[in-house]
Amino acid sequence: MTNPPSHKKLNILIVDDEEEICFALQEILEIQGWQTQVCHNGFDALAITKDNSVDIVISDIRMPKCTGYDFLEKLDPELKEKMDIVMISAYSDYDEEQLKKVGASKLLPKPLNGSHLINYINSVQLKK
Amino acid sequence: MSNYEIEKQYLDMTSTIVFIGGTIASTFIYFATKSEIENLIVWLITIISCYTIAFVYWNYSKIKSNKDPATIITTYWFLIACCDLNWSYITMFHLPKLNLDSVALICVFVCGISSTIMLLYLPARRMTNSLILCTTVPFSLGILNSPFSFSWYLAGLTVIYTTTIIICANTVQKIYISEFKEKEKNLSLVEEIQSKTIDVIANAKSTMLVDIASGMAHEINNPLTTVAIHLEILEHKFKSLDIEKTGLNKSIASIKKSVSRISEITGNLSYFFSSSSNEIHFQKEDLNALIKDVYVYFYRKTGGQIAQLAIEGPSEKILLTCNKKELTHALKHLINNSIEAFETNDTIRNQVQISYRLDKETIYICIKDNGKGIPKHITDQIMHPFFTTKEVGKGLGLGLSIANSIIRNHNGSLKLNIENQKTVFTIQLPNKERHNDQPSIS
Repeated sequence: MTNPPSHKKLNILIVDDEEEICFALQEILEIQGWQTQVCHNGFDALAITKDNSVDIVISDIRMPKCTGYDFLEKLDPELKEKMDIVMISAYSDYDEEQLKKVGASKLLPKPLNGSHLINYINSVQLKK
Repeated sequence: MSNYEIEKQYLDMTSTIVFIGGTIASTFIYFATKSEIENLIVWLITIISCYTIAFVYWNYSKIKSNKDPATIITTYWFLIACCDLNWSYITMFHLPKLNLDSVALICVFVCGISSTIMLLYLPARRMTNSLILCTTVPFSLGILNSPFSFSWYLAGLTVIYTTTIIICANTVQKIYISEFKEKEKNLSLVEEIQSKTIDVIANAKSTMLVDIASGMAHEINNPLTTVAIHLEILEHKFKSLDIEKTGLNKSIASIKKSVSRISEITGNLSYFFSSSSNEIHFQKEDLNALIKDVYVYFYRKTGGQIAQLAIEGPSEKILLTCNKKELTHALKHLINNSIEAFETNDTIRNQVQISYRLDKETIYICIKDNGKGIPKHITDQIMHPFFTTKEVGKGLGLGLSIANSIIRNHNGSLKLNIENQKTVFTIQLPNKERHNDQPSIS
């Protein structure tokens, strides 16, 4: 894990039905100096992203009520353009091509490697 | 041979024995005996013996166990017997009264032989042929010798009797054939249902395994994510402290290693069970780049500390229709196996060579290493899932099995060869397109 960078605070939304995972991700991302928000299903994520303040979404694929895939499909294309969406999954049966078609920028399998995730977010931040 | 054909063969054989026996016996009796009573007794004994032998033979045949067709066959038999009895009776008791000359007798005999031959070669028309011959011969002879005599009466009766038999026999034969064909159809249906049931059960089991593996992977990977991330947080927080003295750094490294191993196990299990059920998307990929990526992955992973890695391939670009992710996965498993075959970290001696070439419509990718090798007696088993020679806890034995499964999904093959004490895994993949217009990337 790298030391916290000193540039702009990114606003990251963590969407996962597992509270422990949300907490762990929140901890590791906040150490980096990024702002985080947490919700546990796709519907809540749609509501949070509406105000246009989210830079990156880290979302699980399989969730109750509204899955990560449904969330991507329902998300406003304009918002999708502005955000970077990282999909995470503990299952290996996801269709990578299909997820990328609906707007996912990156797919990471669980268990997550924190350093990989941070490196990726850093690369996204450099582009912004 | 179907059941119907076997049963029909038995029927043909036994009825032929009886017919030939009856014919020979009748002819022999006619010439050998003089007294009519004696004729009758010997004739009865011969006929009864012939039919008893055939009946016993019949009962010991396989058909006995089959009750329904046996009833039909018995009826069929009864009709043949009636025909044979009638013919024998006419030959024995009526022919002497007709004062036939030797030519006529030869005609009768030739007719008997002809009908027997026809029985052998035209089994399906047995009844019709034999009955026509049996009826027409004495009938014609009767007309020739003494019209309006007893022979006329007897021949007339025979015609009526035989016509009835022919109609009955044909009906019975039709029933017999349709019954057996129906039975055959039912049997094949039962077999088809059984085979499909087995397939359905196997598929259900397979689906259940996929679900279990997938569910297990999910249940393990989620808490493992929490553990892995908190571990990195701990590592980060301890960085400012002098934890080397406390030995905590070793504990963290050990936990990280274990997390990584659990992750590898769940990943492989999940991949192994789900790879066969997932649909794979194929597209044209640059093989040179794909192999180079794998090479870079291993170079970074080993840090150039375990073995020398080398790539050998053509300078022109090769486009391969494949699933990049899957093929990369297979290559990683094979190369990982090669790297794990080295017992020491001797980078001068240890060599792993990845070579590839295009030959007509086939792409060959070879992974060669000079590691400890694979003993000959296990070469047949190495592709089996969960087969491993590694120590307990060092591997699940799924790598080669997964690689093999991926390559088969690409309509290719994976073969193991031992060349000059070097282990060579050769992948053969079908390819239909080659592009030479672009420069090499390697």
